[in-house]
Amino acid sequence: MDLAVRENSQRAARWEKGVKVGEGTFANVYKGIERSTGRKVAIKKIKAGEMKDGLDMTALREVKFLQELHHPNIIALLDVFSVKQNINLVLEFLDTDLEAVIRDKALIFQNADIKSWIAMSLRGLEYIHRNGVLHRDLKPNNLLIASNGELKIADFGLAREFGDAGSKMTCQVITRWYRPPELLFGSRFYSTAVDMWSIGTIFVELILRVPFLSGETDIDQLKKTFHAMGTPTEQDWPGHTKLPDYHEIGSYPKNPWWNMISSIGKEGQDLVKDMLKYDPVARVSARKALEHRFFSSYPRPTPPASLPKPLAELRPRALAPDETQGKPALKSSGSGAMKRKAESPQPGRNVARKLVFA
Amino acid sequence: MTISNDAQPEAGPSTSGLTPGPSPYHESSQFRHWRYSPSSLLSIREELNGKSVEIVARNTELEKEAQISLGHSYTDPPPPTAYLTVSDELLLLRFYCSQITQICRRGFGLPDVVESTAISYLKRFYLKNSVMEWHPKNIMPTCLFLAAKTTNYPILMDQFISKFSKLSPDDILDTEFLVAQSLGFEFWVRSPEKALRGWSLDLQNQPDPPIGLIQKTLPDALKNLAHCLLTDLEFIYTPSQIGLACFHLSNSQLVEDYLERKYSTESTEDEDEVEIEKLTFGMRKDRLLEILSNIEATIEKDGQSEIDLKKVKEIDKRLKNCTNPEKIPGTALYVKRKREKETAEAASKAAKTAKAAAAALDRESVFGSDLSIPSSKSPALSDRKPLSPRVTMNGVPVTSGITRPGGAEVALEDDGMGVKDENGIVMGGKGLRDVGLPL
Repeated sequence: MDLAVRENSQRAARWEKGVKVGEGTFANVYKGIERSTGRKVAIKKIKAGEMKDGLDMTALREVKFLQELHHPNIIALLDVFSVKQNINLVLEFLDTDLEAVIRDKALIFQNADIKSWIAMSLRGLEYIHRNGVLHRDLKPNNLLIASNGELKIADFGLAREFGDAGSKMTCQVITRWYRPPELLFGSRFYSTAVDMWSIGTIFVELILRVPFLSGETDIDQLKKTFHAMGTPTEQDWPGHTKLPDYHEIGSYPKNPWWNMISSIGKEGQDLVKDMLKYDPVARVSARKALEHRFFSSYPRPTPPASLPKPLAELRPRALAPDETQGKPALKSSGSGAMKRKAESPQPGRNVARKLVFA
Repeated sequence: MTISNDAQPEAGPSTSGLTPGPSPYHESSQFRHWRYSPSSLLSIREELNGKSVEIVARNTELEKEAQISLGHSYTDPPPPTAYLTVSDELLLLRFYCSQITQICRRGFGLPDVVESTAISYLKRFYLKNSVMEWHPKNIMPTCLFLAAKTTNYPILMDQFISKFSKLSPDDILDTEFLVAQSLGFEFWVRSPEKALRGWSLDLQNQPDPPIGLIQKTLPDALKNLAHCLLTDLEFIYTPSQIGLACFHLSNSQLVEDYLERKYSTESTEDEDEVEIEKLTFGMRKDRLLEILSNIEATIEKDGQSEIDLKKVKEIDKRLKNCTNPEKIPGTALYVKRKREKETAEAASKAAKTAKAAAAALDRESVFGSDLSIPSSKSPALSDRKPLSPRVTMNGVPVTSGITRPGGAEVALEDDGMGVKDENGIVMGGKGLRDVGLPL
């Protein structure tokens, strides 16, 4: 037997696949158990059989980055093995996600809770950025929550390395509500600031308990953004009118919009403003954000184990509620059909994007 | 690509002197799983080669029997001397590595990262497989196709295939999975090119930097780097060591002046007193220079030498007679193995069917339904159709009869959820409806 095949079957033997808990176009998710320890795991089986262009690029990306990134606030990839032509990812078992927590109206958040979730997200993100990777799909339902309350960044299907000077990147990334204006204006050269914008909008969503900027189209997203925070001037954001897809979007006045999140306190408002700076160059980095006074001032962040969690047992539910509720799927356009397809397989991206449990 | 194992230092995670401390590189799969000493590389290859010779010899014998049983005439297997040696395998591998460069630069105009990643994939593949089992002419395009995807420059299959005269999409698809598996699904290769460019910036980061000289040296250093791709260096040294050696080889004075300044300003204390980890670059200067000169010797010996095309052709010719017949479509043994595999898969499917049917019966009995299936009419379980769940892609049923390489043809039930036996009882159905989710 080939060495690689033998190694694979040894790995496969470590895990026992249980019942299916989620199904999507490119992956099915199963409960699983590590045979030697009885530890619960999730097994994500990526369907690879029918692809004309071979192994799916989204799957390859996910595997590529999870193989390299090891951090308490990033979902752990425990093993990879194959059965026939399917790649199986063995992932740590996680109970729920931040989206479910936000939507559960029975839960009341204290500022210390929000501080804790944001701190954990930033720790994971700082590590991702330090390793030269952009996540490009941060949103509450990609921030999973373990049974001990720890937050873990998941879904690296759109991630990529950055830092190659001159290599163009696609601007069709990040779910629209969490997408920064530079991408909406078609910027092809961007950096870690795109992920920071997403964290900023998630921060506000944790305070308001509704998505902060919920545009129905890309144009509407810009409108809502500028309506909320004022149309940027050349001074706020030097050079933005030169971006490829720039167009004038009304001229909304600047209001002290941060008053609506005054409950988080002055330091918190300050940090949100730094995360949602129009100028990507001026936007705070994950590292700098972690050093922000918000995290050292009273109250102290809630320990993960004491964070609010949905009490009711989780029911199976749609894997991508955003799509069915008019939240945007990633749009495809232009050349390089295959790449784009990987980013957005179908209009309703019915992909098992996270673990759902019966 | 051969590296004599005497002159080289043992380099690898075990040698603490080479580890400047945790960095993203030290967490990488490359550092954890793809670092070897020259001697361990040699022994891995010797073992692979030895095993393949055995397998090929045995299978050639079996192929002979199979052919004879089919009534075909058959020529005798090659004598043992005809089998490839480790250095034959390496020469062939080096040739195909150089082909990747040609195709990337002339054929597709792909960036360097695709080229170096594809070459690394090919080299890593042959640390798990032998040339006599899988011919590099088939594996090389697959490595390139896969590397293009993992480095964000995907090429559509049709476009890709059009650049190869004797290749069909299936040749790629058949081996892509095997390649990914041989790589341990570890796709991120840390190329020394980034390190080299990093050094070019670091070299400028000193008082009164010789910018003109650095600019002049850079293209030549990049040329050295291209030669590194054809060697084993990436398995033995870190990308930054290789990058610096490429500079040093182009202009030793430039690098030595820089190191002199770096070491004299940053480690002022008596070096013997300082912990290794706290030293500049995590090691003493003479050790670093020794590593650089070892790398440079390898570049000059293995990387820059011309590939002997005559020898490559001769090896390739010999390889035709000593490739594992199991892996060549069309041989009697290939057909036989495929049939065996199909039978095995059908058997396991039948077992699953039996299990599902038993479970269905079980379910019925829980609800006390008065089913009476005359045991005489109950068909042999293995005769039943497999209870394949309906496979849909976005609601569109996948056409039945999908054949994937390495797998038997799967008959997909169009109506999906179970099979009726002759009593009209649905068996094993519902499965997906129970656990599947509305999407």
